[in-house]
Amino acid sequence: MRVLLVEDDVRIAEFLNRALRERGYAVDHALSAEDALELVSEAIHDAMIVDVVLPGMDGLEFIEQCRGRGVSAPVLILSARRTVDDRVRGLQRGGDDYLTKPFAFAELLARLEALLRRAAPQPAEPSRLRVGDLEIDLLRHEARREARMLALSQREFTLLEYLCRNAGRVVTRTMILDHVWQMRFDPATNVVDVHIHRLREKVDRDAEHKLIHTIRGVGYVLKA
Amino acid sequence: MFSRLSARVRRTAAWRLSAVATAVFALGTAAVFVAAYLMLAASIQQRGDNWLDAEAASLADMAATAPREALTQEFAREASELANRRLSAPSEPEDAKESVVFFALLDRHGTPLLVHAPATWREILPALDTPHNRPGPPRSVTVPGWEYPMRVVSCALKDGNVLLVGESLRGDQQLLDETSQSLAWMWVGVTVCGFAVSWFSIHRVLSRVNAITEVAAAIQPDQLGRRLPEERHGDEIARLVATFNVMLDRIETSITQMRAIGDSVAHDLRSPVTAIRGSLEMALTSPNDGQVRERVASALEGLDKLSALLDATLDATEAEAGALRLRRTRLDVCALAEDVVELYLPAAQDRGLELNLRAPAPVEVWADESLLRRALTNLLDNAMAHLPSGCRVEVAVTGAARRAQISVTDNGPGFPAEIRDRAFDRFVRGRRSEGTGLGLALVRATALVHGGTVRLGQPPGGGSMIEIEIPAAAPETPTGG
Repeated sequence: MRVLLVEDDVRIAEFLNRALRERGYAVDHALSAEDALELVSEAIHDAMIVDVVLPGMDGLEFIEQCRGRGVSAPVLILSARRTVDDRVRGLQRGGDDYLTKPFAFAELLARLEALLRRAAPQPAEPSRLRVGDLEIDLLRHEARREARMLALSQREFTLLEYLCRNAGRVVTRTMILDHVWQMRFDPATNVVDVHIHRLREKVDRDAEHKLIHTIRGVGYVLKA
Repeated sequence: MFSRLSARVRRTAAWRLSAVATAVFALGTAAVFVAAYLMLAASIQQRGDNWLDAEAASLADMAATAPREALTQEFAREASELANRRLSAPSEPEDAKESVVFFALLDRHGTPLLVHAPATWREILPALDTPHNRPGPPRSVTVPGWEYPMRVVSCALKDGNVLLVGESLRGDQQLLDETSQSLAWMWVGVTVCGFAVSWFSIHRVLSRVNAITEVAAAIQPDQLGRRLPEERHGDEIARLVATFNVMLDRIETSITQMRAIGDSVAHDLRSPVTAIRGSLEMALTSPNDGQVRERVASALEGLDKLSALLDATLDATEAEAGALRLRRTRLDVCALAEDVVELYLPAAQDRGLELNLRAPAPVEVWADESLLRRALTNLLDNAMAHLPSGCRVEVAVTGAARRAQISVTDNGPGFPAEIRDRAFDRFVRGRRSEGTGLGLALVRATALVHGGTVRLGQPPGGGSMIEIEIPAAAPETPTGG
């Protein structure tokens, strides 16, 4: 997978470059939209990560020009502006997803992968998800570990489903709030931690092998 | 010197406005004066013509019945009567070349039979050659060498002779000339006066505008105290002055606030940055891997808090500055409250708090869902942070009289007395609070931006109550277009 990174802040670019390479991506980096346009014409990218504020041409115009040239690779917009208006404007001008700074790398990775999955041919939506001995039935809204049926509330089920869909990937509190509660801000109270704690009680209690893990300072991961 | 001054004057709006006003005024008065002159001239001529017609008619009667001598006498009598009347007018010059009237009786070939006219008038007879002799209405005749024309009427008699009655237009013309001269002088005077009056009044009004300009130019960040003197009469400029002063008040308030916020932010940012820096520094020098991870994680948590503080500050600032652009949708506050309570319930239980929702019936509002949700979570964040274990929190949603009320009531210790009055101001927090001091500011801004209010109440049994009240949506889908 080849990713084009358009970011003028050298420190952010360096960190993203290294982190993405560690995850197995090939990364082309441009410091300006003008340079990026050259790179776009030289190679085919599977996805682009574009900062909005750039010297010269800005990121949104760059995206428009790319779309004008028939480049269809999904674009993840990075921006320090986080109002709903900014987000909508970014998506209207050809972006596919919008991430505000500062962000957790885990979230950037999750969003990037989601974009790549969306761009790839869709496999049929499975009706069951399985992680280790945990199995959830999306049609019947049932979750079980081995033979034990888990008694989950509606919200707990949604939360577990989200963790399962991202099995093996770290999800942050922000991502959980966004996907499970449709909230785009973090409350001061540790509401997510408490919900995860409750879910963990139901999923991992009595189990020899724990599935839900806390990554301190980042978030949570469900893995077998 | 003068030309420079006059060039400067000519650039002023007062000059331009009064010049334009004067030009329009001058044109208007000129038109009125010309019309008056023309009407006067027409009426004078009409009067003269009436006299000529009447005179000719009565003389023609006499010519038909009375002998020639009688007619001659009548000519003389009329002429002298007229001359006497004219002489009484002092403006009449004695040595006037032209006399006032003449009478003539001509035969059908134009040969004078009887003429009564001053001696010098012989020369008019050639000028009265045909076609003037033909009967008809009064007409003007120019006599060569004479300054003023004559007005002549001719009247055919039954015996074929023609009676001519003429009058010099000198008197009329002189009257009209004098009138037009005085009208012209009056016009000049009125125009000059008009210019002076409009220049002075416009200049006076605009000098008040100049005063505003001067104050505005003198406003500096460290000199925000200057205000324009308010005027008693409520004209446009007085309103401008009042508005301008209000604007200065607002600027002063926001600059003062900005300074206070700057101080507060500096404090709130420095502490977490110091903590993060410390954690990372310790991680660098940590001998074992476990400790490194622990300290980096702690630094990350510190950064998240810092980031949340930045977000809250920006949100509260934008909200209070009225820069929030609402994305309103029709939504049920009960459902929203239910959502939020569900999110907070486990956290409340963990803290030993009882959290209830009382939302008997759906209450629809036309509001920005994200903001409203945020306001409610801020209220619950406060409750979670400040209430001791064992307290009860109730979220209530009620709708009445086209208003929606969302309240969060608890039976805890209540707000510290020292901040009760300023609880909704930015960066105001209790001494033992670890919050940002921004939560309630955003709650208030949210209420205000939705056209509502927020108030801090004291429930009868102690504790605290915060109630947001915003307009409810109209019963049916509001507008069709």
